[in-house]
Amino acid sequence: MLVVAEREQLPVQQARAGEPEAWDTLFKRYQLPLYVYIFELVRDEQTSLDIVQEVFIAAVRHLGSLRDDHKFGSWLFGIAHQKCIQQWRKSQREEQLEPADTADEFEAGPDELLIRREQEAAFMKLLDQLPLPQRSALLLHFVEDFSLEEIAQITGTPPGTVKSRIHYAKRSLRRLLEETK
Amino acid sequence: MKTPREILLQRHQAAGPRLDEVRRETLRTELRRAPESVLTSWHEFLRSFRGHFAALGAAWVLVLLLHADVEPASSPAASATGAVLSPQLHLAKVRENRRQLLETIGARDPEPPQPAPPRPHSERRRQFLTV
Repeated sequence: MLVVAEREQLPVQQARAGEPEAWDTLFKRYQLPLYVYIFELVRDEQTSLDIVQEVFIAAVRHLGSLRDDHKFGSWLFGIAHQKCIQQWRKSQREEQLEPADTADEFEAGPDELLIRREQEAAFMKLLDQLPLPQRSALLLHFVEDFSLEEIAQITGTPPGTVKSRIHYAKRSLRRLLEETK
Repeated sequence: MKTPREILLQRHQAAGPRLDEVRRETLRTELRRAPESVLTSWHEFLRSFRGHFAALGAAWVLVLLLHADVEPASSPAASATGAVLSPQLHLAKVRENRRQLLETIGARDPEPPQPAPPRPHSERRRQFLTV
């Protein structure tokens, strides 16, 4: 069973009306999670900041294209994902996708994994080593607790593929945590 | 023990001030863009009529100058006859003008229409009876 976090009340409607306070609230809410997601994919501080800014600009200019206000978060991460893909293409670092799987690892939820202080460095190292598509799916799952469908929408991949990516990523992580116990 | 989310957010907490800067910069430039462009286009729209406005202004100045030139001749007469003529005086003035005009062109003043003679009572009664 998917665990979807209770939706927060975000001032998306006010942002549509062009209220600066509403935009400030929205960006404050998402700036760090967005940065984490982008940084963990592109691995460069300045590029990550630039992409965050590009995402913010695109959000202000294209909010009209968002149909459902409740999907603001996934919409924003979708923009970020597209920007990261462009960045990958620029640096010609595209990676191979792994085969799809029907595993149920996604259903465990992002907070099911608990990491001890001494395992933190190993966790980050493992995250670095994951193939980009797996890393991207896992980050979206961990950082914003997006649903399978949302991650599929953000990354533009079928839900089955997302499920498989998260399964492989979590399996590697679990193995690592077992080894470092 | 921490969740992966806590670890990730904590790890990048130091980027907070720079992200604040990025956020403020975006809001300052992007949210000011729309009203500015509206103002600019409105300004440009008005500017395109600059010649028309100048011509209109010159015409009004001319009208005012001519009006100021003509008014001293007409205003004493107006002040002598009083501020506003009563309807009777006005009618008398119109009749006098008409008479003068007819004299000038040599035409005879048509006789004022005669009031219709009163009809006999019997006729009136007959009318009443036929209705």
